[in-house]
Amino acid sequence: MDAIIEVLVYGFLISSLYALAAVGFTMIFGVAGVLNLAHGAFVLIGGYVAVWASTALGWHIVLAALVAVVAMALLAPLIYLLCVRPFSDKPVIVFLATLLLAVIVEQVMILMFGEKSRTLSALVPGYFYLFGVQILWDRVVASLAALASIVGLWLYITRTRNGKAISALSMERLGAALAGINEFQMQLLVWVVSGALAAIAGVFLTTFLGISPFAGRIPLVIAFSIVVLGGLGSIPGSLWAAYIIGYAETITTQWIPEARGFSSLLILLLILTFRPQGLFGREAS
Amino acid sequence: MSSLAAGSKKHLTRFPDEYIWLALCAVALMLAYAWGDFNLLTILTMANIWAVFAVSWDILSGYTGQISFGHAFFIGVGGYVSALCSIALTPHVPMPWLVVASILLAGAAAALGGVLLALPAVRLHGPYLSLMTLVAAAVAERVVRILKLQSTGAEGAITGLPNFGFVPNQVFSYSAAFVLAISLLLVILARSRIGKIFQAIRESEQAAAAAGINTAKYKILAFAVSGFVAGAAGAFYAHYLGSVAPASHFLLDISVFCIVASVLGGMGTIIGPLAGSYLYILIQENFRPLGSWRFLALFLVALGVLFFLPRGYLTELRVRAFQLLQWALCKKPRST
Repeated sequence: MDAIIEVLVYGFLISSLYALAAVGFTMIFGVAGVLNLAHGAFVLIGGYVAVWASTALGWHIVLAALVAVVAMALLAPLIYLLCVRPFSDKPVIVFLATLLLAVIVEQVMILMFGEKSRTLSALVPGYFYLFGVQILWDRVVASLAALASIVGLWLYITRTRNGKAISALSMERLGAALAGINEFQMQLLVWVVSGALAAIAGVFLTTFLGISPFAGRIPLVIAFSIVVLGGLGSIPGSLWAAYIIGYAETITTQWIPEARGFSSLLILLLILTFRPQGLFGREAS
Repeated sequence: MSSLAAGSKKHLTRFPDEYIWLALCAVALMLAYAWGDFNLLTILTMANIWAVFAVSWDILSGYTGQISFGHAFFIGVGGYVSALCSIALTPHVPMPWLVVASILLAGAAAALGGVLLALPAVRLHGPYLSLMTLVAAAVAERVVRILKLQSTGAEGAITGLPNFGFVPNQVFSYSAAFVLAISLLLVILARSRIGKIFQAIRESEQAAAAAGINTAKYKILAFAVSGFVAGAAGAFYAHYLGSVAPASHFLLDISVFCIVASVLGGMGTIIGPLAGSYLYILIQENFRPLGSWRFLALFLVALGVLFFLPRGYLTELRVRAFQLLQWALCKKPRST
């Protein structure tokens, strides 16, 4: 019984973080048409900047987290300007460039922080008991923050002018341009949002699990799985898929620990084989 | 897309200078053999094997445009099948044939794996396809770790495989013959009608289909050829190391290496990835004290090559060499 409650609670907590990592990824695909393989690196940079600010500079953890988010929100559009925009008519070059960026960031992190795993103290210390299961406050805060970010993003996309422009762009580029939407500004905006969301996920993942130079690969694969399951470009799809993948992972970790990471891959393989457009996605292109 | 390929330079496509470069490569390897420096031969043996990984990637991704992010899938499948085959065949087959048989069987198994992967993959395009290959490699790695077939080491590793013996010169000459033979066959394939169809699919699958080409058939063929070569190379690598493990064969770094080496030397040219592999491995092995700096440098250079010399360094060299040749023969330099 305890195990079931543990799975229910922790599955929910981790799924929310996964959703956070996946939403930015899917937005970039939807609007920029770029499958950003450097997204795991964004998560990584977010985590490491927070570690650096809190250990080397000795800043308070909340401040360090904010710095990480701002840093990544500035860096992501820069990457877009330097590595994606000039090659927008050559998708293969962009694709390979984001992969190279991902491995470059890994090497930079090894050089700056070493190969060992680093951790961050919890944003909110302490814990409480729910039906006899110990739950850290930090994780509750993390998942609430993640959910709040996603809900906020959803409201922004559906309610505001810029948000609607973004979703118009992801539906039909030419039509959006005809309607007077400034594509360039919207692209920058999407990269800012995506970078910031990835950094938030990175900070929380670091407080949960610690961070090491290759830790960006797992969020990337998970974001990939979620986004493919939910349908590339679909934000609600990502949310549903995040909970499916999150629970699948938590359940396998609880009962078949050696198969950890396997269930999400298996789901991904099945989806790619039988329904490549995902649960909520438009036609695969 | 077309700018990625050397084929966009028409005179280069017709002129079979790949054979000359391959011959130069063979001469260089022979000179290294004659020089006989132990360290150099060890490094070059490694480079030879990894170069086969890169050229196998190139026939699928560089030529046919099916960008694979999980080439370690084929290499790992090849390595494990060869390990299982050698264990099964040891009592029945004498030594040199044992290794040959296990390499061929591993290649066949990886080719089959390629076909199985291609069946769903022919419906997928672009990023979905790359993702499929990435996932296939990750799933295979997990399966190996969980099943632990015949495992004698940690985490599903199989150790104590028959290897080529410990005479470094001998292993070096086998690996050199291996890489040269494979590259030669792939160059011949790439220059044939089939190779032209592969390139047509890369440039535009729709146009190729409209021209009456059964694109699905040729994509499956590209997967099978690439799988066979990569599987055989994975088997060779297993017999070279004397072991096979998820950490040596199913490594994401192998998949990344294939891409970086091909980008460096020139995608879609076979000899380009070959040249890129030697550059990569020589830097990786010669500058070990530099630690991560050498990978950072390699990846940054690859990014620069991708942006500014998208045809790769060897292709640029080939164009210059060709112009020089033209100038020497007709004394009339032609502007690029």
